[in-house]
This record gives sequence, C-alpha cells and structure tokens, in this order.
Amino acid sequence: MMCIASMKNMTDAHRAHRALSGAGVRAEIVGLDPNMTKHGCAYGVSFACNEKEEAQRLLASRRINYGELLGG
Amino acid sequence: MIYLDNAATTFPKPPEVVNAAYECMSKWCGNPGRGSHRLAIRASQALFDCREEASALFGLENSDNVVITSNATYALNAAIFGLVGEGDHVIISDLEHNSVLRPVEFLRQSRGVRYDIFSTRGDPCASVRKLIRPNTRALICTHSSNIVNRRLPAEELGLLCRRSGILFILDASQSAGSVDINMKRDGISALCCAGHKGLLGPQGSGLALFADGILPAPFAYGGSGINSLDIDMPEFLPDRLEAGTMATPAAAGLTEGIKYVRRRGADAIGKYERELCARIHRKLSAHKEIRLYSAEGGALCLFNVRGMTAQECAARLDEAGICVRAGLHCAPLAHKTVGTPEGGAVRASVGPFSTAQEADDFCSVLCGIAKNAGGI
Repeated sequence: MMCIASMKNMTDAHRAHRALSGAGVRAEIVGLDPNMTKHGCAYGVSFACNEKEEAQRLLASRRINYGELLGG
Repeated sequence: MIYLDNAATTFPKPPEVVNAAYECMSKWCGNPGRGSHRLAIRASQALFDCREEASALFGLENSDNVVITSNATYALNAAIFGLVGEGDHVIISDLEHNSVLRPVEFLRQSRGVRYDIFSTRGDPCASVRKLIRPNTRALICTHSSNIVNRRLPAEELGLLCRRSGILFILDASQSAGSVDINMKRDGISALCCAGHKGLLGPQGSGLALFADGILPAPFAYGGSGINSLDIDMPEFLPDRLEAGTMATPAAAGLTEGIKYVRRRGADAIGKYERELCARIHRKLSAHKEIRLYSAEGGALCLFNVRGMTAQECAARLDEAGICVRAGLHCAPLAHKTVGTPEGGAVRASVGPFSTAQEADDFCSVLCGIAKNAGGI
C-alpha cells in the first residue's frame, strides 16, 4: 500500500524525494488527481505506507512541509 | 578565430554544458512540471538541480527563491515590475544598461514612478544616500559595468539599503561567475543575472534570486503546472514568476556552467580575467593612436582607434578573425557617463577560456590597424 505526501510545488516534491531517497526510503514523485486537491493540479511524493513514520520524520527533520498525507 | 566578446555572451562553453543541453534535448526533455510521466519528472529534476546550484553559488538558503528566466533582462523586468509600483521612487546608477533604464523609464511614464541617477565616481554610497527620499522603494544598479571596469561596492550599498529600509536590486550580469557574491552578506533583495555570460550556460538562460520574505507581483501570467483551479498565479516562488514552459535544455546547461564556476571559483576566474585584461591594457596604452576609455581592474577593454569609427575598427578586427563588439552596448547612459563619442566605442572582453596568446595576438593586430589608420 502506498502513501502520498502532497507538496506545495514541484520544487518541494524534488526536495522531499531527495530527502527520502537519500535515506533509503523508496520514493517517487507523482501527480495528484485534481479531484483530490483544493487548487487543482498538484504533486506529491509517494512511499510505502509501512515507512510512513520514517518518511514523516525525515521530512520534518529537513523542514520540508507537506500538505495532506493521503492513503494508509 | 579569437573570441573577445565574452561580456555579450561567453564562448566557448565548457563541454559539460554543451553535453547537458544536448543530452536533455536528445534523451529526456519532457515538459517540466506539466504531467507526471517520467520525462516530465526528469525535466523538472533539471530545473530543481539548477535552483540548488544557483542558491549554493550565491549564498541563498532556500532554492525556492531561485527563479529561472530566459535572460538577465527578463529577470530584471520581473524584479523591477514585481517590486516597484505607483508613486514609488527608485535610484539607479549612471552606468546602467537599458535592461534597467528602460523598465524604470517605462514606469516613470506609465505609473508615476520617479527615479534619480547617482554618480558612480567618488563614493557611490554617499551619492546614493543623498538621493534617498521617504518614498524610495529601491536601489537598482549594476554590480559591474558592461563597458568599463568599474564595480560598485555591493556589500556597502546593501548595508545602506538595509539601514534605509529600501530594497536592493542588483544587476550582476557582468559579475556573476567572476566575483564572489553572497546575497545574505551583501544584503541583496533581488539578484538578477544572465545564465549565458559568466555562469557559462547556454543562451536562453537567466536567473532572478530573491531574499527570504521578498515576494514580487507576477510579471507574466499563465500556466504554472500547479494550482490550476486558481485564477491567480501561485502565491509563492518560484512558481509565481515562472509562467509557461521553461527552457529546460538551457537550465540543464546552466547547471553545469554553475558547477564549473563553483569548482574553479568565481574569484579565481575573476582574477584570471583581470590579469589577462591588464595585459591588454598595458600593451594598448602604449599606442598613441588608441584611445582607451577603460582602466585595468576587470575583464574588458573599451577603446577607439583615432581616425576610424568603432564599427569600422570592429569590422577590421573581424576580417582578421577577432570577434569584438562595437557601438553603445545597449548602455547609452553608461557611454555618456564614460564620455565616448556618438558612435560609441569598441569593447574587447576576455572570458575564463581566453589565453595570453590570444590577448597578445589581439593587441598586435589592433596596433597594426591603428598604425595604418593614424592620420586618416
């Protein structure tokens, strides 16, 4: 099962992707369904839900803000 | 061929710059931030890398504040139109390029913006200080002139702006890549530069970097790839100032150009260029038929040959395989300040790959031209 952290923009998505991948969390940048977001097109970073806590910790430690955490 | 027009655009480029642009176009040039297929994501990675390299070079903590533009002019327009509004007063220098002068003049004509021009001779900070008014919004000035080797003291000017509560918009088109610039240390609110000059990237690349807390109004409106339901441009950088499809191959090349600069060191490149140009000045200053307008201390040499127009001289050099630029260099205000004749002057500008042999050959050819032109 995959979780997705929605990101403000593509720059943050890459920043998050680099933070997670660099720490060994397999992650991918994905486009979000516009129906799932308030403002339309958006991007997020997906990772296995069983690594959710580690992903959250990594993003927080690098001060990378995310919007919603989808799935899981 | 001897290329001495590096102030217009550097040539040649490091091979890795050429390879990066080529690889982008031949292997993975999707539309960055438009769609989420692998090539779109790969292309957006290239923009991200460019922002990261640029922010590292210029001492900016947050690479979100790096806006990738198509050139320095676009970057300056984005900063000026985005930060200066109705009723504001701004201060510019007497060495400005048209990329600053024209937007400011347009704002004067259309939005009641007033501007004053400070003298770069003597103490620029004292000149600026005298012109600051209660409604002064920004100091907008070149870091290094594009026609003479005069560099303004960015750190002192930045400090003055900070203490005066005004923005400091710096045009680093001629200094980025050959001078150590740190936005935080130098108190720069907005740093604008070309990507294809000292940063050694491809043409079609430029940068506008903003200090934390500076959020310009959008300059162009359109698709941003995100928040498509919003009728306004995004409220955050860089997306706010990047409407439309980006020049990904240029950005990919620029990333490699910046990496090259960081490896070799901007100060080291600047020192190399200054030494080479000093060599040219020393040789040319001995020739009585050559009128020099520039002094040592930078990467360019501005001159005329007596009895010959600037254009004629440049054409003669071109016949000899030497590329220089004649005329007003899009900087008539600066030419007026320097005191060149109506037709401007000839500019020879060295780059990080120019050699001493090329400098000597150029001087030898030019002295030959000047000798034959004397007395005409």
